[in-house]
Amino acid sequence: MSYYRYTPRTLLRELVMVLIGLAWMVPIFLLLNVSIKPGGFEVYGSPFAVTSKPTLSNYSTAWQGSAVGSLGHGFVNSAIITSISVALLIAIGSLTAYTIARRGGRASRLLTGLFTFGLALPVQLGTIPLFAEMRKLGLVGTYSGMVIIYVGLLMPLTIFLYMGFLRSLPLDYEQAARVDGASPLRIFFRVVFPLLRPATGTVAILCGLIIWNDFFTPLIFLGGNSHATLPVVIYGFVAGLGTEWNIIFAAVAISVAPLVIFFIFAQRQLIRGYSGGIKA
Amino acid sequence: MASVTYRAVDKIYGDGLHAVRQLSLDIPDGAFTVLVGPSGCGKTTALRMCAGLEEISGGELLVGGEVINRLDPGKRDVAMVFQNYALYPHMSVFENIAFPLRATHVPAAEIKTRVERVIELLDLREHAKRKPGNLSGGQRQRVAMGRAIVRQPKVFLMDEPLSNLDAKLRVQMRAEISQLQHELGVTTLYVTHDQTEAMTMGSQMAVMRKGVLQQAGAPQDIYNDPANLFVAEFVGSPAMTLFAGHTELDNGRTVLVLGQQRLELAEGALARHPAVGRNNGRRVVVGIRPEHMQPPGAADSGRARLRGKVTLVEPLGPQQLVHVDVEAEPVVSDAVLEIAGDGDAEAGRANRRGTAAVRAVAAFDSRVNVQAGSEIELAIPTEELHFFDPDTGMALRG
Repeated sequence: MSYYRYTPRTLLRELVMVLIGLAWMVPIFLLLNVSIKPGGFEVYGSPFAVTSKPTLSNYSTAWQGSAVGSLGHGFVNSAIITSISVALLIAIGSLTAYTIARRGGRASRLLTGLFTFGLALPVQLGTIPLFAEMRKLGLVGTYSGMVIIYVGLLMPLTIFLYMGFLRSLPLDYEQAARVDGASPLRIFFRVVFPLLRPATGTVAILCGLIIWNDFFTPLIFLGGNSHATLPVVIYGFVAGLGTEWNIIFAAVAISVAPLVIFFIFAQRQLIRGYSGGIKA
Repeated sequence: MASVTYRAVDKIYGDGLHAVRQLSLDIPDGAFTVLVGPSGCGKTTALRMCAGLEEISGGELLVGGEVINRLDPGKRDVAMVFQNYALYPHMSVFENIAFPLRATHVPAAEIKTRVERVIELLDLREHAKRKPGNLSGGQRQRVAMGRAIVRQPKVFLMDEPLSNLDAKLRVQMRAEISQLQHELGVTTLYVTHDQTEAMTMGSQMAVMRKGVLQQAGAPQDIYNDPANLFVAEFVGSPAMTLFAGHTELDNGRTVLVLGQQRLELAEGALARHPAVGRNNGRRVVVGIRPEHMQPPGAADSGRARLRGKVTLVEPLGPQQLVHVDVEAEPVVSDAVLEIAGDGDAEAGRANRRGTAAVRAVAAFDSRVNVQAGSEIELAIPTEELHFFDPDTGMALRG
């Protein structure tokens, strides 16, 4: 006999879940709905009403770009900065977390405290001195400058995620590899890093999202520059009273598309990374 | 291949726990030695010290005559099988077995032939490409063995490798491992808490308790002549029955007094245990193995008798275990209570509190007709009795 039974309670629970799901869908509906409206009163007057004259011309207009640059250009910039930052975060973060988690001792405790502190620190507080330093170093308005900033800002989060996962990873695998005669680097790259895959997935998605969607940092460090990322390019459409929201919404829909596709393929890993644990 | 020697090895953890005390043990080249004892007795720590996964606090550990105390685990040329196998979950069976060879930079062509030979030997051919997650417990166990074998190491170290298998598979793998070790002839140190495994698998057995080696030797020798009460009760299933009593001189003959019952000791018994005959009136602990308590038959008319009441009969097919309550004083030393309480002397004490009878377990042929609730007389060949000092727990020898 199964322990699971479909009762009225189950039905109620499912209804609540469906309602919550619908509530989450409202912004997405709004985004897509407005993005296909021809503009004018339909956009401002009744954004939720379904239009009788849907059009895809907003998408082609959006693709042309704003005063800041073309959407395609913003795409490339965002992709370069996000992918390099995420790759570096994974490479440096996993090795650092592994060393801190497995070495133990006072230095490890100190570093754990330091990274936890970094997690709580508000970024905006450091923006002005950071900008001054970056300008001195000639890194403002460059890809490498953005990458350095993101790797620094998101390293505490990355290490925090990796350490949580490492704590639940049995030591046996590493000990078996040690007895098998593997060097510390081989143990990390051949045994530990592959086992960290769920955590790596979480880091990639979480940090990737943060960087991809970030508006504040690129606005300041890449302002008025050909390296502007997508959110900055989209912001270029905003023009006071004459703002065409239908165009902006189309641009936003284009910019979130790759993330949605990525999430669909990686959602299982993402969830596993959060919940931790590993199956032999 | 090489011998393994523990020379007064100590292990003291950071928190002060003295896990292994002055362990001295010699494992000859090619021998299969089983370290056995209840949980927390230090057997796994002793094994891990040999693997290099635990630092050695004192003494010397030698492999092939060379001190390896400070040698890196990978340089010791020992292979270990872990309790949960520790197979790399992201690698195929082939890659798991190949890992130790890749780690030590063996040429690729040689890796292929060696791994394939091991896969063939362990009957894993059709699973070579599968991941450990898709294998059964027995298959995983074989892969773990394969990873150890492929290196052709000097020593195999096995940490309770059968404890995750079900009973039937355990019996099968027990035989497979014994046979494999015999064929390969590699010195093996095997840790288990299961005394049946210890008895059946090893050419040598070492019993540990609370970090101290109690007795080492051939399993049958230990079974026949346990050095102390702990070993006596731990080795053998069902366990040896222990009585507290004393000896008396009665008309020139030595008599063993257990509660109200008097058992005359045969000449053979006194010849085997001269110390018992020399000190009449002394308190002793007496041990009897289940197979030495038999229903009285024609063949043993002259034997001493022990009366009791049958409380339970457990048929096992060829044999039956007959539980008999004998009115006598039970043994309440720490070593014995620890086993009764599964490693916890306090729990054992609670188990046996207030009992004025000893529950003896006898192994009868299944054709003997015994009824629970009936009174019974057991014939005891007194030359098979074991005698211990109640104060020290040591066997009375010499």
